[in-house]
Amino acid sequence: MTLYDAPGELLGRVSEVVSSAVYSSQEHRELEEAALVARRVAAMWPHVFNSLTQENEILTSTLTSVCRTIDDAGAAPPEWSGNVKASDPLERYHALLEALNCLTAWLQNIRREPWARQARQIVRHGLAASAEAQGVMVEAAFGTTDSRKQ
Amino acid sequence: MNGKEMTSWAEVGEEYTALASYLQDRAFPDAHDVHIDDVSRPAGGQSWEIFLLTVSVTGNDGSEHHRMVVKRAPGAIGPLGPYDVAKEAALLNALSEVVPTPRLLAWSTDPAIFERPFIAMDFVEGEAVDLYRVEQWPTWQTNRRDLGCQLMRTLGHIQRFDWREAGVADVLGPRGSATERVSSMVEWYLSSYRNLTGTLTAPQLFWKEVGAWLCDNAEEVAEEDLVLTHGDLRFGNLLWQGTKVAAVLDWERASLGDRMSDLGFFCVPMARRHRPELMGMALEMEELAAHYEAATSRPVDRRRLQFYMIFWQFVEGSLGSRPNRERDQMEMVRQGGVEVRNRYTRVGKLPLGPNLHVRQIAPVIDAYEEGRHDVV
Repeated sequence: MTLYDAPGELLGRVSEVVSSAVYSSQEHRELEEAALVARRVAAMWPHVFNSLTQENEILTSTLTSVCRTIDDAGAAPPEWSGNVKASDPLERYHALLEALNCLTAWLQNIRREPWARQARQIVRHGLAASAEAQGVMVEAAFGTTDSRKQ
Repeated sequence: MNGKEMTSWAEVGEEYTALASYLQDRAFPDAHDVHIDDVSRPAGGQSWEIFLLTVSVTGNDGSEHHRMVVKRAPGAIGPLGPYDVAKEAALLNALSEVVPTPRLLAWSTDPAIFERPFIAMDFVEGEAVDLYRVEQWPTWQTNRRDLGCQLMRTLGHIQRFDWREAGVADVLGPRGSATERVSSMVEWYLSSYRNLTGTLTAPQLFWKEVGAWLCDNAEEVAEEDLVLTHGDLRFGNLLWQGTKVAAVLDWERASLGDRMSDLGFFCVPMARRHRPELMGMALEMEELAAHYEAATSRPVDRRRLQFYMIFWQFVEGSLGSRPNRERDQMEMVRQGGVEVRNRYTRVGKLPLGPNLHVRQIAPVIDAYEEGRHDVV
């Protein structure tokens, strides 16, 4: 078991221990909830890295496509802070979302322009595709328990 | 009101003295004495504090017991804020002859009476079953279609309510047409998204864009042509006696809106994850349309229905993804009553729902733009 695999497996064991121990009724609900969180994180864990990689690819492609649409219209997009090429994948993920947020807010202010509407549609499709990629991880977590209350 | 999970009993202490006196003044003015005999606290509510009271009312003809429900605003702002008891009181009064509702007894915003704003209503016998448990409800298992038919009849009663004559327009949100109301509601639901200080999430960005999309695509309907909308019409907000609707509860989201608005709410995908073909976990779309048309003598407009389905998924999704949600819930747990403590814990939840809600509605928005209005 590598260090990358260990957290998921350990959290799964934590969940089993917490949910099988006997507690007073007052402690019970809180600990059941803690066990549920541990169980879900354990189930998600094997998918986390791939999901983040895929989302970064989708969001990068979305950002490129939106910038091209704006450029084709002869407009100058606002500048955003954050490094969308950061080597840390989580830092890059945050920066991509911030960049898209910055562009979307700007596009919403010029919403009557047909190309702005088209660019916003690209953002929406990109976010939907990104959600689908993340969905594998989410469904693995839901699969550990009844998800009706979510 | 049954079907609300566990109940805990509370001491009838001094904090109920002013409430008893107020109830005597407002609900039982001819009584010599009103005494609160016992109080219980059912669990499972969203964020209002619910008190079930048994009250002895003594008059010239002796003493009678009354059961009533008191809904009190919680100490911290929850997802259903701003907890306008005056609005719900006005609607319960106005609707008493039109839609089955609990009889209004008293209400007040005076903190000297019961600490926070509250509304007191008659207790109504019946079962209220949350959507996530409805498949285990025996009445649903054997009479689902009948329940769906009754739901549509109830919606018909709501839509026939003459809000102009009842004079309740001013409590039903800022005045205006359908598009103006959609815009103001979008603005309200995104108000907590304005100055994001923490980490932005993909669902937050999605809902910000969908909010703008809704404002761009809402169809204009003049205010005089709008109908009363409940805004939260689902199994859990109805009290059932068998397959009969005994009461429609929780009017805090009521507004004036498009005829397709409540129907759109009823059809939101997040309400039917396990049975996507059952609108509101009650009826398939063609059955729903037939019952709606029979109840209202009006056709279902599939395009506007689809629009309001997207709108209500936005409302629920943006609430579920709102910034500071976790912090607000921890504050509610700290300050809240038994309902809040039974719903939330100090542990918190993984934010899985927001991803699901985005995945459910994104294809519907695409279908709307492509003119495929049969997609739900």
